[in-house]
Amino acid sequence: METKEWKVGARLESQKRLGGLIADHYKSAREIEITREKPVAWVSTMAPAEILWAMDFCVQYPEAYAATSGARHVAHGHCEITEQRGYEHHLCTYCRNSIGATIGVQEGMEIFEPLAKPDFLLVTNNTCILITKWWEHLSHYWKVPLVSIDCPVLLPGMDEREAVKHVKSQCLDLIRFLENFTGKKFDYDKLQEVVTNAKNSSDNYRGMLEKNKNIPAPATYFDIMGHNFPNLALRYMPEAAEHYRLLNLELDQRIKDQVVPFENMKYRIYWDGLPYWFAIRQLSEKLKSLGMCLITSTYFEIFAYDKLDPANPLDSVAETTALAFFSRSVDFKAKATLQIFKDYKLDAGIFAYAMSCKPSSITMRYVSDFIQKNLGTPMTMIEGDLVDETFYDAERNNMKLQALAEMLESMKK
Amino acid sequence: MKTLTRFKELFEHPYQAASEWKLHNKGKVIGTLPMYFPDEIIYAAGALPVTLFGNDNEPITLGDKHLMTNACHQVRSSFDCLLKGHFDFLDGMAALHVCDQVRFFFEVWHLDHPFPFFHEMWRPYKLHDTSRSLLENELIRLISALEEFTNNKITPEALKNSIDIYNRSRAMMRKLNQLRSEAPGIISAQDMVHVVATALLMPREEHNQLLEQLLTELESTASAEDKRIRVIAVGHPCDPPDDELLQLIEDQGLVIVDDDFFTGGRYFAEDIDAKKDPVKAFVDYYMDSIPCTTYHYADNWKGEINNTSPYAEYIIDKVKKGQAAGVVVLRLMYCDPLDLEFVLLKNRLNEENISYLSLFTESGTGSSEALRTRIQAFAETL
Repeated sequence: METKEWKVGARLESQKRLGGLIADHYKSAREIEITREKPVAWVSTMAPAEILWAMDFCVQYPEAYAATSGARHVAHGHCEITEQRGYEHHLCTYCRNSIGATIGVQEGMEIFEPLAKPDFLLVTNNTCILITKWWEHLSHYWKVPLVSIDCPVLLPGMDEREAVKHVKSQCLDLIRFLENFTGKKFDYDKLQEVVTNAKNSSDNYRGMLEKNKNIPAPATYFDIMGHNFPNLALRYMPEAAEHYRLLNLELDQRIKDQVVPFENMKYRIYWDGLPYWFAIRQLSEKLKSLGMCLITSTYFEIFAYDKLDPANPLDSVAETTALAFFSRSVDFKAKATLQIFKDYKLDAGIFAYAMSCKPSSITMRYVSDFIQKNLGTPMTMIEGDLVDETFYDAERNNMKLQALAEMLESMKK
Repeated sequence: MKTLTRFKELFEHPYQAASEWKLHNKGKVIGTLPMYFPDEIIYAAGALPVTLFGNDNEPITLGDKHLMTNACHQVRSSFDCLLKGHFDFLDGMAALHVCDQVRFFFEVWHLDHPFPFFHEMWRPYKLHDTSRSLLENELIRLISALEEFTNNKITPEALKNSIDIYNRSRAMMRKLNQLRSEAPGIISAQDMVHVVATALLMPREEHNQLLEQLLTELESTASAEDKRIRVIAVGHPCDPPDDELLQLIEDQGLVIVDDDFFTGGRYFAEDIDAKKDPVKAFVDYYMDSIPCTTYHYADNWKGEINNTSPYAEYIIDKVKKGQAAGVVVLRLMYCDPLDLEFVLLKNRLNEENISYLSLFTESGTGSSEALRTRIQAFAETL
């Protein structure tokens, strides 16, 4: 990469606005917990939350809470509580975090600002199968109802329309349940309004991701990963789309002015897997020192709700849920990752194995080999976990990153 | 006993019978991964279904180069067997996605080591009427794929015949289990596992003949009074528990009178209804299944949240029916569904004042002396 004309930019201005949006979201939920003006739902990341927003629920995300707990270095405390109750150390750390935080609240062992207490739980298994069991345990502890939506893996030979039909019938079942639960009739006009906002937000979110196709990239993966949150938790409001619109203007300006996130940016790197939330700063500094700029990741696909369509609100919500990226086959994901390498002109990949997250990890070797065979780009695999720091060996991972940088350097010669 | 020795031999050479069947019949052998694959449909297509269990007696040397060690032994060992050529006799592979590990491992297998026939089937995780239509489509998709591969039409009659053969097998297993409960020790825990596991490894009609022979032998055997303490053994979804461990349990003054292993009570608990339309009968079988850690019982979670673990209630019911003094839970390392459910199970067992012993059984780890001490201590508390 040519670096002569590049200028190093300060922190993105949009970070401040993001901080405000997140703070407002949690503050509002805590107020609702006290006033009980609307029911609180705990929802899994790829569930059709649009239905809940249309019924005026306050929606909270235990997975996002786990990520925050990891980043604040309090997740291990939550995990310890669950382990004392007999949950095994190798189980999903997001799951252990949220069950531990729940028990902490219920038994006066709170170690971090908790989520507003739920009145209702909604889960889909389009991230993993285990997540439904996790939500069952939340229902067990909170004694609140749980609705699950079964999302089949989109297997070779399976008719995708059948999968959408299957999810839609469950969405209708969910609506019937919620009408009974809240005593309110479902408002399809409100759903259309929510889907319109969510679609605008998602389009702008996709726009944000694609800014990093530019050479030089205006931001690193670490700079933009937190901006997943508005499209996850706030997409039902116009403020989410507005946030991305302003962020995209800022990124466009950086592209125009050739402003880059750090000095000596040499390599464009792909990240596979979920972030190690507790190690963001350490990894960011290490990669920066090696001239490696993380550009993008298929992780972002979790928060992309591209199929929403205001003209067909319920159908498109069902389609978005049924045809999620993580319900796709490994073959599909490997080919999609290959396309990302081409589209973003990536030099190498870091595959971040997560000890307790089998869905994001078991197929990593295959995807990594597939890219390497097709493009010859070097890859490395590091080890850790999403929020549990006990599996993480920074020095060992640093050595692997160093070796990757050396390989990239030697390829330039 | 001669027939039990034959079952043991078959168990110790798990794929020999299938290889011989293939040689003599020029038929196709299709490997299936545990649990719950509808083997009856493969059998109705004129092919032989064989459940792949991995290999406890062989260290994993090649599999761990492809999969991290936090996958369960069943998954890693099966992959290891594949890479070592132990599954070269197979013509095809099929599996249900019972858990995340099986799903992703099977997908990698499909891409890295393809067979002429490879079929993944989605069994809805959620047991509810909204899942019936999708499951029916999945069963029809399986039937079509098998018909195309084997070039045999799977007629309703062929399916009914196959269901009858498998139901007869399960009925005889239930009878054997009943005998064990009435006359503890008449068949050892490991022999019981051999009987059920071998049914999944060889032509079912041949297995039925052997099983019928065994029942005749046992029914004419006078059993001495067994003074050991009656216990139920549960856990070990997917693969058979270790022979030595089962013997260790039964050598410490305990006798297993019922179990919930996949190669045990879980396999033969229920039949497919042979009187119904076969596809609908399979749908009912899955949707009305006995409680399992890999299912979500949707209706349990919508009203008052009382029964949070149908699986725990199922086990407690087994304990009561079996007049057992306690439960031995055999847990395979990294089995996420069982590990999560275990927390609810142990809480319910405590509430019911039922003693339990939880043992991890990762192959090749831990000394048998340590296990013996723990089992002895458990037996003493009973």
